[in-house]
Amino acid sequence: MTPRAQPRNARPVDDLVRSVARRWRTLAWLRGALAATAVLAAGATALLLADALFDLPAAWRAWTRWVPLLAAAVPLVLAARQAARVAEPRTAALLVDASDPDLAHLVTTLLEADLSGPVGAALRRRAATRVAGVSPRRVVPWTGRREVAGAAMGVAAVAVLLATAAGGAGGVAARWFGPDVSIPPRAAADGAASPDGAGAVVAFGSASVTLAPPAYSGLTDRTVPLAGVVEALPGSRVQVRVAATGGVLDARRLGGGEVAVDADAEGWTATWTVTPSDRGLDLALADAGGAVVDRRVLALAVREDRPPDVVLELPAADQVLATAAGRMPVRARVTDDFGVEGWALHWVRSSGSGESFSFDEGSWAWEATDVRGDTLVGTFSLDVAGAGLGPGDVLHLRAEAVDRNDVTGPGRGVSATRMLRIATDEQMAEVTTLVGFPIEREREPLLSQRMILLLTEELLAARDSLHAEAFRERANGIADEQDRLRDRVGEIMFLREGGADEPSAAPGDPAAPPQPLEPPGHDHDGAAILDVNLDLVSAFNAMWEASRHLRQAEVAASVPPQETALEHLQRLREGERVFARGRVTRPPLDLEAARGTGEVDEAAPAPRSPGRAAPDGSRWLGALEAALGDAAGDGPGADPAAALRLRELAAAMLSASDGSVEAAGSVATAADAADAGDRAAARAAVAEAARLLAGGRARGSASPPATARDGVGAAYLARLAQRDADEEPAAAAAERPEDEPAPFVFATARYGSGDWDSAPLVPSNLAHSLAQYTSLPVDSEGAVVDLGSPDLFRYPFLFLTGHLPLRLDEAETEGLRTYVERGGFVFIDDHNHDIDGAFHRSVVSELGRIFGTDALQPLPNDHELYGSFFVFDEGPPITGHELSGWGDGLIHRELFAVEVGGRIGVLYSNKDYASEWSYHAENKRFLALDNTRFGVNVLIYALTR
Amino acid sequence: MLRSAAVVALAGLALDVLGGSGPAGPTVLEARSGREAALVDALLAPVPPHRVVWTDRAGPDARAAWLLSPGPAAPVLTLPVGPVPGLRVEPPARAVAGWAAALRVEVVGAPGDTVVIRHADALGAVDSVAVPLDSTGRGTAGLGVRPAREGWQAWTVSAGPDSVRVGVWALPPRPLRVLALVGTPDPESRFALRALEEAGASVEARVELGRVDALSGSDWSADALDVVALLGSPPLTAADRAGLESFVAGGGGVVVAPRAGDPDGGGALPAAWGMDAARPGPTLPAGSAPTWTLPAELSPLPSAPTDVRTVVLDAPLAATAVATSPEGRTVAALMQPGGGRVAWVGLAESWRWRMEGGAVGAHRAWWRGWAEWAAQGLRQGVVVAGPGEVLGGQVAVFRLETVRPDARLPSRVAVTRPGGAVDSVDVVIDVREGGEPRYDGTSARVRFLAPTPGAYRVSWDGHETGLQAADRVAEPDPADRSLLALASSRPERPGRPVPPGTDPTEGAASREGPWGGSTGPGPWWGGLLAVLLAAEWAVRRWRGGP
Repeated sequence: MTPRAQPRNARPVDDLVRSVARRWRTLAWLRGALAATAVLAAGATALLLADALFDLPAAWRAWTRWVPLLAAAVPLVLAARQAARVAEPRTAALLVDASDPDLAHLVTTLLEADLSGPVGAALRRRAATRVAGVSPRRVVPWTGRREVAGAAMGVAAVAVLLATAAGGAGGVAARWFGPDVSIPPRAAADGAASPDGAGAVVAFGSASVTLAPPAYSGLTDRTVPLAGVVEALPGSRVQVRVAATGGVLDARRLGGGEVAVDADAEGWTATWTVTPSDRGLDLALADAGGAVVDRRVLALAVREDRPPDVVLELPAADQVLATAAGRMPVRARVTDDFGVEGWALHWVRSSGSGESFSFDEGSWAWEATDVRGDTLVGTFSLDVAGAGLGPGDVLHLRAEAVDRNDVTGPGRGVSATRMLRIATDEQMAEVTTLVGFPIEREREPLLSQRMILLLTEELLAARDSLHAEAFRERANGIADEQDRLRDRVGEIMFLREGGADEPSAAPGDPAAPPQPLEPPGHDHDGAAILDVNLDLVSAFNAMWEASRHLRQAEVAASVPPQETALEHLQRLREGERVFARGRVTRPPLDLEAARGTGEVDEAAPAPRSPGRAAPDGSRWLGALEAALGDAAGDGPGADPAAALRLRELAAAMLSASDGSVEAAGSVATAADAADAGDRAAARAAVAEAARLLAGGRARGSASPPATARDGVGAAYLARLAQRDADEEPAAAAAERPEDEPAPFVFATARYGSGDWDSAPLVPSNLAHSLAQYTSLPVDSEGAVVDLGSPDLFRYPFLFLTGHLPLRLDEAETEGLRTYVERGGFVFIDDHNHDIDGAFHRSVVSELGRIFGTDALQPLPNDHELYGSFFVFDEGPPITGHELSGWGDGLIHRELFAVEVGGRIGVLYSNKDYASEWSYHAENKRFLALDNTRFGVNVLIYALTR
Repeated sequence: MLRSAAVVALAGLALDVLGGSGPAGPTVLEARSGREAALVDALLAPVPPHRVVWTDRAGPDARAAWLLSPGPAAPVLTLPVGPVPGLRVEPPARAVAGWAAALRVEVVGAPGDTVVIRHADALGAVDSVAVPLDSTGRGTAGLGVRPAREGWQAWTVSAGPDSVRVGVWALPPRPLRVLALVGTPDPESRFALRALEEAGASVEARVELGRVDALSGSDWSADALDVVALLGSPPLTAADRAGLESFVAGGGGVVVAPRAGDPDGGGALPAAWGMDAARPGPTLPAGSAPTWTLPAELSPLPSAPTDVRTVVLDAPLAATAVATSPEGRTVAALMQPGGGRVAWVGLAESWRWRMEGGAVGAHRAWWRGWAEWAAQGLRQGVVVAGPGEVLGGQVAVFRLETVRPDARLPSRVAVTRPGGAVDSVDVVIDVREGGEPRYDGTSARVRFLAPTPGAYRVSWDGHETGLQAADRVAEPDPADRSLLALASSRPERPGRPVPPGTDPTEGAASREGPWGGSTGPGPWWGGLLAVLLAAEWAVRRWRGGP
């Protein structure tokens, strides 16, 4: 309502109304301010107390420091609202009338009524008298005693807390409102001039780093100057002490994580515990205006605590025994950089065949442990008979050790795995029987060549104590064993050739005297047989020679040919691993007939996702080149500004993933040199940083460097060089005609443990599918390649499966790791379909050991793998084994993968596609829906990404 | 008043005529380093010399160079090449930060010798190369460089006691944009794509899978793409071929890597490239190591013997073979049809270097090198030749030339000086030898003073170049590019280097000075007199006089 225009004689009332309204507003605001002060002080008191008691983290402080201010705004808002209530004169008039009932609404009446005329004049006169006695203080009394008390108490509490806090009020203000952490300058703390006052210089002084390694390492604490690169173990407690003459400190851990900073009158102390991702510390010192005026950068190289190095020395090779009897010596050694916490002999026993396997596992403690320097040697006598092994069972043995690392570990080291297999009747017919030696001397079955050699040496050692006749008799006995073994070798030679015509002097023919076979290369009709069985023939002939000497009691003379025979047998065994397997039998495959017969209506290849650039530190070279100008400086003497810029660059390099810690350390060193005025040293340090980043960029040599970066590559290059020296055509060239495009080869990985060849039909079946759906040239045979062989790298795609535990030896481990790092694609499938199966557990364990525990991750079901050719909206298709409840009875919703550079390097499935696709390709026509279509996706992904 | 002035002018003209016409100073002035003071005096004389012959390898100091620059008081400057220098280095014509480029080096020495040439950038030594000299004692080499950042990049090249400093203005870094058309996928194409991506390229790939139409709809333009990679002999339609031809004509790059054993071998390419008549020949087996003569921009092969199959070209191309088989057949070739670039890489199994040899980095650099070479065609239709590094206080001169009929030269360019100030500078269209303006406008020059040391950026319509003004002469340079630029910067009287052994004064008398036949102030006196007389006549008539 707008008040009417009042005649002049209404002014006393107007004055009263205005006074009342003014007092109302004043008191409302005053109470609000007092209440706000009280709330602000209470909030600040609470935060300061909490900080004093619990040392609130910086993030907490950053989030809560504005809460008291926000809370204090509430009373102010309420006060504003209260003050606004008397915005109109009528409200104030009503207030006056309400304060004194005797007024009888006189003030309101005077304010709103038309007071012209004699009645109005009379009323005005009366009102003037009546109103004169009304006081605004009585109308609007003061009622804010509670607010006054609250504000006073709060301010007092805050004052006490500020007075007792480290660094005083300035320190608290800097701690809560500085960039991160702040203390007042020393001069201010001493009560002298402020840092910005005359003569005060805000700058860092001396700086040092104290490293307290984790207790398990046994290393002692050390203190070094803050310069260059400092090495530290994860778990180390790092304390950076930096003196300063004032300013505000911003401490930032490079690599993530919090850092605690304590301030005192001399400077700051930053403390934190090193994690594997740490790269250093950036300390920026700002002046009162917020400008960074000095900087220190710590380049921290986090040293890796290597897992224990474990070597299983005995048994030196896999063993196949005829019977589960006797004792087998086991010996292993372990070393570690900071000590071994524990180690044992781990075993996995598997029984069964085909799809039906059972597993159990456990550990044996070493019977004796010997300390040789920093190496532990453990020995164990394995009671083979007590191991519960039956024919066909396999016992996997490997030594495992854990170190004392209780920070990022414990680190776990494993040795190569040795298999102890009890032969079945069928396996007795294989050549392995010749290699493995029985534990005890038995008449049946055959003695191995090594055992015969041991018996011979035993006889030689006992020669002086034996009568001549006894000596001859024992020599004849050994000769008998040698003949039996030789006969068996002869049988196997011709067995391997599939029943080829036997030579006239067939071994084992009692009617014919034993004769040696012709050596390889001799030109006669049996050349083909001899070429194939080169090692067997050589062993056969050496055995013949040894037997001849033994029967003539020339026991010592029989030893060299026995050793020759053993050497050939071992070579044969190395070439064919545990079993001298023949070629995996695969049905004939007519890919040309299959070409283009598949239904591709549902094929809709998804666009290829963009790949990821490899980390390349060369992008820093430009910044380093610009930094050279800083390092060179503009004139003689120290150049703090240049040093500051160089340290900023060092901090930026440490913050980035592709910035080398060592190069950043060199830049920090250049900054120190610039600080010291040593221009030449500064330039040299920057150039050194460039050299470290570019990886041999500054070669300065007319000769190009070698390009092989690892042992496998070096072996390959050496092989090529040797081939060129020998002027022999490359094997690869001989394998296919020159003008034919290289077909895709489905390579199956062969590994030492387990049953790598459990799914021999999968390669041909998928090759058939590729021919059906695509135009890719495909090799119908596929290839089998040893995981530890350099030949592995000739095949960009690799399939690995099995039922038994996957235990990779050193060469296989290195081969798989290198293969994936170079860009190879490995598809691993658990032929058991059992998450509690030995294959699954061992694969997960081995992949974790090789690529890191977190490397194997679930693959999202919308990954481009599921759209690389056919579209699988639901992710990996379900297998028949999952539906029928085999294995673990689960339907696995996803696959797993190890990615390298944004691409799948290892694809792992425990859905048992190996069983799903294990059938003759021709039978695909009986399926309503081809279940190998997902296999096509896997292959297309592997060939295009 | 006017009449008095006219009389004074007439008197001046008379004195001038009586004082003798023609040049008062020497026609030719020989100068050399250390004697700049005399040169400066001569140049500041009322009548400067017609020609200055600089007779040693070091350039003049900044003040003398400034006075020698084109202007009202500058004479025509001719630089003698002098004795053949031991080392000549040509910087790359164009460079992009992070992309491969090359320095061309020519070295002279004793016939049959082998000279080791080293080069370094601001951060230190980069690489070295051994150059065998031929029977005439000359040898050439390329030095691969990779500018680390945008702006001015300089390198120092040395061979024995000789040292040369060259530089180039590097354009801002950006990732390569590659469209890969892949035929039947195989390990070679797979690892080539991976190598390009690992090198930071932005790769879009379309893969031919036989019965699934994955290649259709290929759409490329030189604005959106740098390189089209034809990997594994993808089938191309007539429209594809026309698009490719247009792409290359517009400055785009193509890398052709045919599949081993493919009957077409990538031969179904645009006819304009001449590859229809040059069908690939048979695939050579692994172990047939080719002989490589790669340009320095391309990364070298691993030093191991090559164990990969190669696809050879039967017929010679209008291209440069950079790899030949032991039988002399072309394995790799480079060609530049129109403004673009096409590279033929007949190496069918380079992935074996990576997988079998472990040379992951070398394989990555190999493919990156081919793509970067192909990407550096003449996209914008204008080539720029800059003076390189000049001394502070000198005049910088850039020469602009169109290389495509549709290209147009700008009328003005923006010059960003050290500190960020931007000037607008006119572009002067070149004239022909006889003094007539070039009617086609295909060549022009930009001149501006670089008074203070620092980087000067020159830009127009998306083009960019620049130079570095130094505060001192960093290295002696027998063919100082800035002075050569000065010599050639006078459009009406282009200077030229005098071949070694010729008399630098020869023909000087027949050459006119910069103001025509007379070098004195006579024309000015005459002009002033005429103006005054005309004014006096006009005033007289206005007042009613005769």
